Amino acid sequence: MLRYLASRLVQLGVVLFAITVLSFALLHLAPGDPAQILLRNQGALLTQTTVEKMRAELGLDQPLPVQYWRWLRGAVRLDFGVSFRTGQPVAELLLGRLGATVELAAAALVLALLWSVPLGILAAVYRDTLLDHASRLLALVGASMPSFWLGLLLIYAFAVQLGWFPVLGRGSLAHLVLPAITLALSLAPVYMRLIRANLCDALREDYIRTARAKGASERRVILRHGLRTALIPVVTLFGMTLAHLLGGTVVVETIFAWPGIGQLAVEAILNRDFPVVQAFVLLLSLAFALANLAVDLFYVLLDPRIRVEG
Amino acid sequence: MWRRLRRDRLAWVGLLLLGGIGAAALFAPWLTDRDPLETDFLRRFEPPSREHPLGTDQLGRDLLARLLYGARYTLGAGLAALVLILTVGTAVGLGAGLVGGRVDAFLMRIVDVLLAFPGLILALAIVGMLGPSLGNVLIGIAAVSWASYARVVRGLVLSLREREFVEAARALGAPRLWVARRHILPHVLPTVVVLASLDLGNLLLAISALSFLGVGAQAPTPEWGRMLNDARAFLWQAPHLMLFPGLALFLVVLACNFLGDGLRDLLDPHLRQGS
Repeated sequence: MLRYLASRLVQLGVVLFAITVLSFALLHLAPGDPAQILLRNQGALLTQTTVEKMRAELGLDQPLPVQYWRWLRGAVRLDFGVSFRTGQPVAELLLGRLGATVELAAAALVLALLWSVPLGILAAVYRDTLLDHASRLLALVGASMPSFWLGLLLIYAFAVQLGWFPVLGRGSLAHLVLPAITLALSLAPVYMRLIRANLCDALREDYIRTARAKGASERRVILRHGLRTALIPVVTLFGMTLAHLLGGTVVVETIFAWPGIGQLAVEAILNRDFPVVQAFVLLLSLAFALANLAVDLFYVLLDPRIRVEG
Repeated sequence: MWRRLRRDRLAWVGLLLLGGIGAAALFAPWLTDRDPLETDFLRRFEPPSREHPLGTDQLGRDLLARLLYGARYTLGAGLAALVLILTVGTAVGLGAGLVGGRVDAFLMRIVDVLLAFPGLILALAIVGMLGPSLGNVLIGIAAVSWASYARVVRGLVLSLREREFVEAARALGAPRLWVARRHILPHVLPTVVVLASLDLGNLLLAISALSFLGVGAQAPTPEWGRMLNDARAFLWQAPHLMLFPGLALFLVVLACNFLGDGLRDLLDPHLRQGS
């Protein structure tokens, strides 16, 4: 187990290193001189000397490997440089926005599970009935819904027309409702289908037949024997859909002007604010890799049938 | 096989819908005589009327014409991305499977890395670095999506390599590339194409999501995601501007998913009987 953990951590390090090299290379191949962008954003005069001075100040006059080494040395100490747009330290900017994204993602996840677990169970229990077909249709419709359109529809119906919720921004609990629903509705179909598939498989196992033969009530068989096995993969499911969730927050934050890191990243990308983009990519890659590692470890612990090779 | 597809009503609905929208995109000039780019500042934000069946937008452009011509961008971008992904994925998968050894290990490492990260965000970052445009969106999306196809193709190649007809060809002294092109590729392609078509709906969603975020198609291109982004600012005064492009996108993706769901059942009968 320890050896497995160690090898996974080494792998993670290699992957993150590759990601930083790649994003660094891409950023510096991309058109647009950061020094000029920064000067223009500051409203300063663009002359040969000011541009060259700024390039020296930002370290852009050094060879690329030297620049990368400097960036990496800063990054391990959580110093990602300053934003080209605001001049604020990038780490501060990202950390200040992180809470809002976590809040939104967590709320959406809870909502999605509240909706998809019961529906998934019902679809599995009443397999091949009208209810099951309706749930398949519902899942397909949900998976086809562009989340940005859904968000706009919800804003129009519940904020503009009915006035039940505030339209944009973050603050009270009421602000959270529409963004969380939008994000949850895009996650729920995936969860619903996976829970249904898992439970269907579980219900065909021998121990279910045994439980039925013992005379256990159908309700007990499903909830106690079937669901327990069916829910273990929900942990993996979390890992599988995390990518979807992270991608979704970027879109949903943009629609609702939710001040999270996704919105920050989109703004940074549109303004060619490279240090912010680079730190964002690294932060998300790290979060994603760690979450997947945790899921794998948890899975190994939960299910004794899975053995790991060191 | 066809008999089963014929029974799947949802798949048929999908096929008809997709065909209809594709035809509308192709024959857009016959379906409307309006120019999707022609502005009319005296007639902005008009609700649907006889003259403008879906109303006009913030610059007085005809919304129906924009939707019809926009279908070309949306569907065209989806198909172009599909071709790009298939080409790269198949080439890498063939290379890895046929050459083997270190090359294989190296390529599959890259695949692992790509599969391990949130695709939309990586694509967003790549487009952000390359600069906003619909072409760069295709590059960004293709750059992160080819990996799963490469893995499937490699798996197929590895199993095909051991089959008698491939061994026979090699025993006869056929050059490697010839074997790959004549004996392996024809067996790999159909599976991969079907797999890719299952993905078309998600691909369309990803492309228009990036356009919606502002890094894809730029004004005045009538791409649907871009139109939704523009419509956001006018939600109060002209909700029809976000209603119709969104509905169009939803229907196209739904059609793809209906069709894909039917195809998936066909490919894997176990799924249908089993879970």
